[in-house]
Amino acid sequence: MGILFTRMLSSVFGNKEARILVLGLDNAGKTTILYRLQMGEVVSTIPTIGFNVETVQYNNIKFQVWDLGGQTSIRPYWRCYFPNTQAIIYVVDSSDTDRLVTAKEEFHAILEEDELRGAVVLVYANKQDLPGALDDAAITESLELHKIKNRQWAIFKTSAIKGEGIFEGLDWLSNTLKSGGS
Amino acid sequence: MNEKASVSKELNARHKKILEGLLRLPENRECADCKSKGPRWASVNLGIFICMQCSGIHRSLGVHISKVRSATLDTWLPEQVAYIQSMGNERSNSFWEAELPPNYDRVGIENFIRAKYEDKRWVPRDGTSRPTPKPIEENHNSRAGHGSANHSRSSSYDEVHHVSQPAIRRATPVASVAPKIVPKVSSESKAESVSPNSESPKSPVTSSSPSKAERASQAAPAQKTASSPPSTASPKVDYATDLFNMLSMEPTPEKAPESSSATTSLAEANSWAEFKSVEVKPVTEKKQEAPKITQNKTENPIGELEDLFKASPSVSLSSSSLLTQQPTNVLSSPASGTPQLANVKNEIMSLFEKSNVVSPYAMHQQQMAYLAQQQALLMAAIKSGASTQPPTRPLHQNLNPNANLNASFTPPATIPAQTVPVLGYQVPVMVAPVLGQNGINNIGQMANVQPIHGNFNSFGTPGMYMSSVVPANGLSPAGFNKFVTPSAVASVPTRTGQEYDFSSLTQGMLNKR
Repeated sequence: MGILFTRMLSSVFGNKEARILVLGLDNAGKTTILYRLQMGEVVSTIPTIGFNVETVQYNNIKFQVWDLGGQTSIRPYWRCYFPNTQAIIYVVDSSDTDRLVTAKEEFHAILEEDELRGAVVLVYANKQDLPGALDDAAITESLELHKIKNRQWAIFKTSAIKGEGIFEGLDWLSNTLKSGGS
Repeated sequence: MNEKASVSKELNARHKKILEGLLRLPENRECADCKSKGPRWASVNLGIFICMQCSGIHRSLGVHISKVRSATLDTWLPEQVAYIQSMGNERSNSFWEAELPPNYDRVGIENFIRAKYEDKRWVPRDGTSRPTPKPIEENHNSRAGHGSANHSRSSSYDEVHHVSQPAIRRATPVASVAPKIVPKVSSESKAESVSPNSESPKSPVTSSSPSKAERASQAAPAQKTASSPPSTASPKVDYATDLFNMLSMEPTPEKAPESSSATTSLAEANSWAEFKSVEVKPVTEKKQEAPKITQNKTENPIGELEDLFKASPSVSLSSSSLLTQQPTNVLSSPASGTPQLANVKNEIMSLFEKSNVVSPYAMHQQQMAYLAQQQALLMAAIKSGASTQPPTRPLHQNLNPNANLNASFTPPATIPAQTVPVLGYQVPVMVAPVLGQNGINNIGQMANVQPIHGNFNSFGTPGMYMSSVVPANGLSPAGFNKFVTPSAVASVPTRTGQEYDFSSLTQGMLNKR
């Protein structure tokens, strides 16, 4: 209820806030994307044990972006961050074809979470700069995005290293959130 | 279906154990790339352990070059575990850093890693396209977690060395040997290589695990001996070891094989039944030798030995060298098998007197130990020195306790009559284990090397490690030379030995020189 109030309030002042979770398997590029969004540059990362959180102002929306570590044994902790989340950015390493199945399963497990029922989903088919990376259509297929019901979603080809596709995705996200999609 | 979902909790726990064991290996105690201590990450396709910083760089290479997983936070697939078990930092670097100049400055580790794996700048020029994994045996995998890194490894490498001995002897000059001498010996050729002399290094692969040890503790003493070193783990075992595993397993059938591959080795053992029935004596010899060598190479037994030698009047040089060699292992030895430790000890103690009687047999044991520790150059040097003189009495006494452990478990009556004549020509060589173990060890200590170097020192195959050692393990060329060159051997007696009181022994050695 309070969130609703806050949102209404902020919409009055033309400034929205959104809490966003960046999820995905380990080494998908979540942290690199976060800092690409926040600083506009490529940082060299180490595996995230725990989380990184940054605020990104974009298109009059203040995104609070949570980047959670993706290692197998810390994925269960993602759910701790689910409440009050407006959007999920799900990052996939498009070149890691061996683990697309795992990525799909984690993805659909997230979508089944009650607390994320209202969240919109933005998929980044990341690492398009690497050889053998699957394109957005193939990733859509692999993740079975077409099975998504009652939810707005989109997929973008991205390369966090080259800075391609990320802000396009964020454009979609801000437009979707502004239009009250959630 | 998610592949990872198929990794059950039990399997995952087992993998964790294996990985922990691998991380305890000296070679894996430092990052494969930057050499920082205590890596907890791994590249599953390269089969190496790396630190977190380097893991970040590896991740940036892309999964077509390196697939990074956490050794502690990620779920591993069985094949990934098996691969890293068969590879490891040392083996991997012997390929990826084959042409790396020694003392290469690794400042700018990202550039280094990219050059190493992306540009393949230092891979061997001989056309090898991949690092060669070591063939492994499944049933050892499960126990890698308890493994005594140094010794079980050295045992398997000695094994290799033994089989390929002629070639390696010819190749004595440092660094003249190709990076990967991995003799893959078929079981047939192994059969021929089973001479009384050749048995010793294999035995560490006793198929016992802690739980089995408990079972075995109700068995006959001889069997107990075989199973008393439960922690013997050989994460990297080759086929030759397999053979002797079979051989040492067969006499104690109540130690049921733990894993499926152990079963297969049993099956193979059946096919060897003929061979064994023809040569019963070698087999029994092996049975007796097995424990001794294993004790040389395991953690728990070392702990036992420590107790033993505290109690026993004669201090064993070789055993104490073992103690100094891996104190950490002693500390980290699993609590398993403690209940029967007391029993074993008592038995050993009660049989100590007897053991003096079987000293010829002990000599034989020592020769086995020598073989286990043998190193081509050392042996050549030692032989020339030692063969001129029969072994001195103090030396013999000092060596006895180790052998006694063994002999004590075996009723004297079962000692093959053959043994004594065979021992006749072995006596001069008997000096070797002392030099082989302690001499090398001393060098290691003098050079103030880390555990990893101690490990190298006890390896028997200079050829195999020549190329990988220098760059991969940070061993300075000087230190390495101490290990290989004859001059290093000669320098052993000059050691004052103030750290321990082996005066009786070292005197014997000094006199000889």
